[in-house]
Amino acid sequence: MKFTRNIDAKVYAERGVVKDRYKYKCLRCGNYKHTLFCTYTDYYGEVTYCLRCVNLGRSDSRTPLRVIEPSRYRELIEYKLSFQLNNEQQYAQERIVQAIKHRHDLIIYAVTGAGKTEITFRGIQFARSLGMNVLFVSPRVDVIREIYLRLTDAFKDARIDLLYSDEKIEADFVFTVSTVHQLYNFRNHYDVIIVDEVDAFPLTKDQLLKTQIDKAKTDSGVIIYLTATPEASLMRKVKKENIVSITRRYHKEPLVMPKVYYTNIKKSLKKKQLPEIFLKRLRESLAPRNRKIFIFVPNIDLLIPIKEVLNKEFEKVETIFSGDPLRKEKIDRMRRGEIDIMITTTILERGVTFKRLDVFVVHGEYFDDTSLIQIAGRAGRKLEDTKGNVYIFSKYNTRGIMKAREKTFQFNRGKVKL
Amino acid sequence: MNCLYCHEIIIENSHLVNIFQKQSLICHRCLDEYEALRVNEKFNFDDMNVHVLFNYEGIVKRMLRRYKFQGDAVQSKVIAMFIKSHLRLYEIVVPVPISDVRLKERGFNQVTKILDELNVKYTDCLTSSRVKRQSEMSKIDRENEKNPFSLKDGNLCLKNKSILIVDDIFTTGETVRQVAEILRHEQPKSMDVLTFSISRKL
Repeated sequence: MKFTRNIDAKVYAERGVVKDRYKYKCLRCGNYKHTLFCTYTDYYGEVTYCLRCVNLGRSDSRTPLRVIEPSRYRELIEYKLSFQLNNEQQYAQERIVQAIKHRHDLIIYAVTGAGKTEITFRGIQFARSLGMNVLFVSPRVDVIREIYLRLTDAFKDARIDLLYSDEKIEADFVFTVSTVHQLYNFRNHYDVIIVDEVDAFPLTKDQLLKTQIDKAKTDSGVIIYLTATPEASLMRKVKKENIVSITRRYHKEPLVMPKVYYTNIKKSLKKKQLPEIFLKRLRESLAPRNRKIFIFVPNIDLLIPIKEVLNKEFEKVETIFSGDPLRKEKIDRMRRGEIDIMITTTILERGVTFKRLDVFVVHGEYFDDTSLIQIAGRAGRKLEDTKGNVYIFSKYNTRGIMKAREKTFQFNRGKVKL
Repeated sequence: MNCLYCHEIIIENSHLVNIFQKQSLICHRCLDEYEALRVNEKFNFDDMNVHVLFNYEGIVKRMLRRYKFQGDAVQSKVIAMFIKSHLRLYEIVVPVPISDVRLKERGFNQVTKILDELNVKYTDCLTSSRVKRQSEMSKIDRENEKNPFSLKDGNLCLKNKSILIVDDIFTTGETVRQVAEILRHEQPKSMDVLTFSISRKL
């Protein structure tokens, strides 16, 4: 019976699924939810398997669990950066090296567009020179391939593994880029784990996924968290002196401060209209400012109504959401300039970088401060275009909006409250 | 209850009306993805009516691969739900068999497992000596393959009966043609085919 991944591996559990009194437990992914197990009888008898992690190779009650035996060797890998790091980035870079040296966790609390990925390179090189296994993990599938390309471009001689649902490039598993789910097949393997956007979906919701990272880590290993919006619980896990902030974007210009307008867009949509102030700003952004536009909505149901109203006046309007089968194509089309206005759910709140972007938020009262900071972070990211406009249209003021503006203010003045 | 495909929780409204209805097996988002691939086609092939339900793409393709190649046996319940209404009106139901090698590898025949979910009486009267996995065979391989099916011993009495051949994926139709060739010797009254999905490319 071969449903689990066939890797030359050591066995760490006799069975993947065990029964503790009347409860099932999957030792691979930690699932203990009764409805996510299936029991049936086949040629060999009765078997119970775990539904939750079946996509990664089946874990069941009669097959042992295997993990990859970690390779260990020192390696001197050179890297090159296409730009100079600014002071804050260099300081953060050095702190990462120190954290690896002295074996403690670290949070890099960096603004959106700070160039978080690049500051880890020195640390990665250092870790590999000591023979430590390095993992760069992100919960976000969209981003993982981009990160892989940036790393392989910088570390030209290194062999880097890439693991995510659509693609698997396997080398030695000493320097790996992967999504969190792929870690089910690793135990006690990586000495340095860099977690990018630790506060992004699905890591926030899923407790079991968080433990996967700890399980993949060696006992003496360290975790470096990279995020612009750390959760309070994460901040508590790490000592205050081990939270390093980067308050400026790599191009050193300040973050865009969102402007707030109070209006009820849903009410206007009922009459198949949009508020005049909303349309006015849209027109200004498109011409004469010649910007591309993201309109963030809190709910899929608002995508089409807004598109219909906009279609009356504007061309090249498109919608996008997480379940959209044409997601990749639409983003490519926008990059090529074929789309002027993209109406989107929070799927585009992270990761994407566009030039000359203005950002509109519809019904801002539904977004929390983390989302708003990430959304606002889409504007002004590029050196050639550091100023964008961020407009939040909301029925009323909320703590989320206030906190987002407060944090933006703190970052811009160079000092964040931890 | 969790969706058997994406594992998200299915939120259902409980009313007096549906309180005795069976629980949904998949969530409405996954159901929408299925419906987008629905075909409900009927075409003629080798003198038989072939009924097809879905295109072998997207969620259907991914689900069948998880079912057959990753051992996600619970998908048989979902497939059963879709084919339920198509099984009436036939006297004999013949599932396409799998070889011994495949049975030992997978642990189950993916077609009979679906029929078992529906408590449908079927006649597993064929054996297969096919060694290669169908998914690994090219169009030419399939055309050149010698008929690997044969009737099991025993009194079958298929004569003058209406037969429905059931399979999971229809690609070139070679499998179904070979099965039909063997069954025709028994002189059935009629033979039709029910296949869950159809693959438009090889």
